[in-house]
Amino acid sequence: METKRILLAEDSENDVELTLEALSEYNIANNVDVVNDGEEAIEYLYRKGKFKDRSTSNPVLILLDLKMPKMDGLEVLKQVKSDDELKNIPVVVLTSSKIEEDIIRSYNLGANAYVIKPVDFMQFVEAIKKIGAFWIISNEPPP
Amino acid sequence: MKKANITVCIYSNREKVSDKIRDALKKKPCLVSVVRTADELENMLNDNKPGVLFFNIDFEEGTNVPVLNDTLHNHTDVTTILVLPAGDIHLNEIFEKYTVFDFVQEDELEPVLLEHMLERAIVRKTVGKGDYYEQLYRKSPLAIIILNADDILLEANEGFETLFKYSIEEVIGRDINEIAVPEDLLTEAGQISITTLRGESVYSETVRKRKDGILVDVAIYTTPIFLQNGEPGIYCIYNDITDRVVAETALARSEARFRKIIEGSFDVIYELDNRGRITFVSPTLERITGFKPEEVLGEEFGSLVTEKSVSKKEMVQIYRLFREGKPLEGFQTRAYKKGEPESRIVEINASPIVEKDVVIGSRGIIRDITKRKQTELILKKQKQELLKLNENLNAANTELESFSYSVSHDLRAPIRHIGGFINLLKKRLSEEEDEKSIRYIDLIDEAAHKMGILIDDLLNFSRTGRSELKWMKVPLEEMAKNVAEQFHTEIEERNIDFKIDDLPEVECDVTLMRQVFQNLLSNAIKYTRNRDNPVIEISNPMENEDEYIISVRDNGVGFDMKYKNKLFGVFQRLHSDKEFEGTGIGLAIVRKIINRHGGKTWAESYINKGATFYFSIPKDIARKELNHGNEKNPPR
Repeated sequence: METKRILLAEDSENDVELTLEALSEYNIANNVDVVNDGEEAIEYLYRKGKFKDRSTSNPVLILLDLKMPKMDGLEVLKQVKSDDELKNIPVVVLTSSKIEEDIIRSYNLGANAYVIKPVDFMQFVEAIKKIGAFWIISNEPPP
Repeated sequence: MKKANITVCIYSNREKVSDKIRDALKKKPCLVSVVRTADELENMLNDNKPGVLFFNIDFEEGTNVPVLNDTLHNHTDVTTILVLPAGDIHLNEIFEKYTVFDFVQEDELEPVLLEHMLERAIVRKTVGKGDYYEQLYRKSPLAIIILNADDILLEANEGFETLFKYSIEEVIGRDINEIAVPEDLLTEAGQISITTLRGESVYSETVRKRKDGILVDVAIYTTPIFLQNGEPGIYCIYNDITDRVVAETALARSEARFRKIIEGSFDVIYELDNRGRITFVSPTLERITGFKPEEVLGEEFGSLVTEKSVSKKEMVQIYRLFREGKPLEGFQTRAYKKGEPESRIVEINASPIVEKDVVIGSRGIIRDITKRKQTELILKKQKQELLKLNENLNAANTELESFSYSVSHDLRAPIRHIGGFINLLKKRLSEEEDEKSIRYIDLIDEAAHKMGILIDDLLNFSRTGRSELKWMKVPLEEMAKNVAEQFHTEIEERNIDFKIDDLPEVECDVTLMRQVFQNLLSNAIKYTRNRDNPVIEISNPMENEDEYIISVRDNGVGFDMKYKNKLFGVFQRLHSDKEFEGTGIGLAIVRKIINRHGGKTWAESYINKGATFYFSIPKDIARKELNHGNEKNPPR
């Protein structure tokens, strides 16, 4: 059986590392594919550019940072949720932004969850672990 | 009625009729004779002409109709009364056919009727004989007198009695100057007499004196006449013109008043005829155009502002308005003053003059609005400057918002990273048991954590200043209880004596007001931590006409009043972190929220005796200092 993949769209190398560190507790860090901006996320999802040879199936979860270079998270979210092939993939917005406007727009575009990265590391690890546990382990993805 | 002898002739061939007439008239002092035949009548009329003739006509026999015709034709000076047979006859026809004084039917020959008829006939006779003119003179509503050359009153009429209150008998033979002329007008009266006697008619409006001494305004008309004895005399008529004089005086006063208003007005007031030509313009015109009113009378409307300043097209439009009876409102143009290069800006208003639904012209005002225009220009410029400043301010605000945003996102991330990696590092270090390193690592972690909290606080603070206020009526008591509920664990554990008084219902933003209670309550709970019997009380200690005042009192550590100004500042603390943790943002947020509601915040305290924090909320929402931040959405 193919492993369930997670797509992490995050431009900050530090956040990538910390996120992977948190997920490693469930041994699911290896299932994470990382892209560093919105454009790459789209290329990944549509198997274009450097991902044109991607053989894996679509991810069961997208962890999406909002503020990214080139194409930002909201644009990626909009694209994903308006595509019949992709719209069933759960998208968790994972961001530092506490701005109400961002939260509202994310949900309006169809985000499945909105998580503000806690400043405290332990809380951050806790949050990531919970997300991983729920979406990867508990949640039954669409067929 | 003056009694006069008169001869009456009755022409009737029937005794019954003539007797009846004679009987009916027997009380009247008149001489009655009866004739039976046409010949007798003819003789009577020729020799002894009667004043009144009763002509008994007998249509059935028809014999005397020609006699009647002859009589009426030849003796027009005889007052003829037809005596007609009784019964149904066409009176109207007869009356039209024969020109008689009156008629009576044989069965109506009663004294009352005949006496009355006779009297009327006598009057007619008398008047006809020259007394008629005496009547005109005597009955005239004007006062008429006849004077001789020495101003002696020879005759006066009833009008004189009415006007001067003398009876005629009193004044005949007296000098008119003694009777009716006020002393100061004797010369003038004398002059009138002299001029009249010289042969000229005089008209004069002057004053005369009544018998009771009251002065009357009169118009005097005199004309020279010859008296009965052939001497020259004066025919003099007085007309009482008191009412007219009073009216004229009032009119003159009112006219003078309006003239003063018009002349004193800074506006030019004008009137035009229905062809747009100037019929009146006030002297103020000279101030604007340099022309005197008389120089432009009869000229075209455009002359009021000098022609070149109103275009032909505008002129046509204005005239159309005038013709259609519509007002001209706020028409602005330039006016050039004669001999001055600079123009003035004037505003012209006009409304139609309508008489009996026909527009006969228009009237209006021209106002020099140069100064107003200049002020408007200055104001406009100032407004533009303000707009520019506001634009700059908005730009600065926008910049501040994007700064907040980047603080939110960009500063939080590195802090998180520091904390994260420190934690990872610590895990590895503890295995090596380097105590000092672990201590440093803990301090760095703590510092990073603190910085994270500070950043979050700052963001919260800036958010309270920017979010849009949603006004609604909120019962504060319920809200305070609600907020207290969040702290119930601590309240119960520490056995805090917690009281909430009656609080008013106020207009406010629910979310922000809840934040106020939260911050004040959490402070009160925090700073009473060391008390054995902590007391916290939320109440409404006073209120005035304009605002509600709410207080949160505790018996905690309090603060030194000399620092009361620092209390509400951002990140201002009066205690060390060791004593009481915190960043010093709570009260700053309270002040900001209350300020946005138009209220004030203040506090009272004695060290170790607790503190009371107050805030006020205006009762009238209109007086509130509303959202001063700009309410744009933060940039993404």
